[in-house]
Amino acid sequence: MGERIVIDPVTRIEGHAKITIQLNDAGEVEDAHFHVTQLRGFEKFCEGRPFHEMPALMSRICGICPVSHLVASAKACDALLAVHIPPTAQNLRRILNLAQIAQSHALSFFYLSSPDLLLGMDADPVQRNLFGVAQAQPQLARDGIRLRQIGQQIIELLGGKRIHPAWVVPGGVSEPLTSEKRDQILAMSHDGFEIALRTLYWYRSVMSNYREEIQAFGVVRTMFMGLTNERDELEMYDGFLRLQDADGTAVADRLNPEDYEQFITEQVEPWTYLKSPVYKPLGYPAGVYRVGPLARLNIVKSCGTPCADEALEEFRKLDHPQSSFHYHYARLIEILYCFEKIEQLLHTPDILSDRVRAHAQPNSDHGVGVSEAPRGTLIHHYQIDENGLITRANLIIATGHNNYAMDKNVLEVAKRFVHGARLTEGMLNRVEAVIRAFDPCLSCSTHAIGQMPLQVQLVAPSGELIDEIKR
Amino acid sequence: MILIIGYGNPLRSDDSIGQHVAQAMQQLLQYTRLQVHITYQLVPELVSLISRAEIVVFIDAQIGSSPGEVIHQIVAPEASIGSLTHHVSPATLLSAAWELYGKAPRGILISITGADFDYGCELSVQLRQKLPTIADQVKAIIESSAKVHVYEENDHA
Repeated sequence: MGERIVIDPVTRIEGHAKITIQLNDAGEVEDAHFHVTQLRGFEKFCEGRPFHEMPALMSRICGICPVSHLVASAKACDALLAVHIPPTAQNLRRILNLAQIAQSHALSFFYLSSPDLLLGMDADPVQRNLFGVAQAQPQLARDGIRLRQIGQQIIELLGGKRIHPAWVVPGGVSEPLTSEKRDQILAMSHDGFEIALRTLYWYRSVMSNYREEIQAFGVVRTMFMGLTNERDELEMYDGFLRLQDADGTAVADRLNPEDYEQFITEQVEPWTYLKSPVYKPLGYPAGVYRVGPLARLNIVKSCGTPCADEALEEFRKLDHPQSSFHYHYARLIEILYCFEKIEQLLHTPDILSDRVRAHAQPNSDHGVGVSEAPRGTLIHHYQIDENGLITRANLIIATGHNNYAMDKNVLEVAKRFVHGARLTEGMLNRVEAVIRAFDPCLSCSTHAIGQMPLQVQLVAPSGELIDEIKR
Repeated sequence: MILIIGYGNPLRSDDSIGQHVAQAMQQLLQYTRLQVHITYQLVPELVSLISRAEIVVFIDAQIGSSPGEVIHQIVAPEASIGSLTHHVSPATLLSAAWELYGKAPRGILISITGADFDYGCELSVQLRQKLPTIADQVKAIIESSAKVHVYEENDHA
């Protein structure tokens, strides 16, 4: 008799989700799904609001990556104003976004995934948390806390507060950078870089412990999508979109992000509230793609900063460069990049200029803002009426792009590690770990609120619940 | 250093009482090494700051039937089995300070009963009226704790 396993809630991710695994009569995995079980409705309740409220409203989607929404939303508003914002404002927004990516990646790597990476997938779940890490390797835990703190402090210095800063506004930023703050950010950035480099060395030393997981997490081959620039470098703020297949061949290049509706379509699946975008010309399943750190590093030729480029060269030598397990590795390289890039930007000649905002009334009835968030490409699209009130908002969030890929990864990892009718903790954790590698933010992607518990159910073909584990 | 951490959600009316009272302590207490930290919630990033304090005072709101009531308790370090992300308690932070930095200050949790936790940027009328009294009570608790821990000999201005 076949059975169904349900992991509900999935733990150590942002938001609410569950996983179901269907077994056949022989007790082998037949099917599996990743279900996002929450809903919020930001796209609807912002209708009728003045467009200039959008950056502040949209940043409330998330407490982890509010800056990403702030930036993409402000860019969409820039497009409504039809202005080119001052170069200094662009660079300041870039610095804020990079600090946000660094602190969010630190949360994912150190707080959520390092317990698996340091203590092992089969470790006692009571120990498998940051406390367990602190006991086993205090320096790693201290580094994680410090790294997140640095990212948040840079956000606070620039934006006035760590969460939901209001400094990024339509047309630029609300006030220029002072030399005192620049020097403070430079000092912190240097510390952040040192921690990131130390962690990268450590990660390389333990990665070989996870050969089986690296292979299993790499069975699903999808395209990758992300922003890049004219020099084919890593680009977090602007540029054009590139889609590349699993073998590294460009499928579509130099796509204007503003035209996203021409090449991305969002599908709805009955098992999840999270919409599932695909590359429109190829449809499902060939049009499934991944975004985020792994995608970004796969689609670019270089990062554009010295140490991150060296790390990228090593990354290119990996056996399974498209394995979702390598999201962790890619995340660390991006943290290095973020601090190197912040330093570069802070040394640009006009960074202290007080020309940081363009003022205008709406000059367009729709605007699209696209940037890279920690978890991947983020799209905000607004339409307004003649009074500047929002008539339609469409958001495609990084985690949403990854929805099909996460779903397929769950199936493949379950096939590899789940056998028989009884659940083991290590099995459960590996299925969760593949989701964790993507670092999904389900609160963002469904524009919903919550934390991320997990439930696994084992259900017979008849629908009978055989076994269940809840956290 | 005496570290006062006032926390709560300022968009949830009386949930922010900890923030209000912590801010008041900045004016009422005269210690030379006093640091007041205002935050929405307790997070792991506070651990390094906590490890540098001799006494840490957590001020939070609580639900109860007597709005304005102030209670306090000693907090001992206690490891959490959670992931140390969404829900972090004062005891967990003290434990983490010990694990990571080898230092855990004396911990005091002061809980103030609120009347209204609905959406709102202001305190309820009850707590607004009682705020000076609450602040005096909290001040007395902190001064008493500092005295017990012989803190004031070197650090009281």
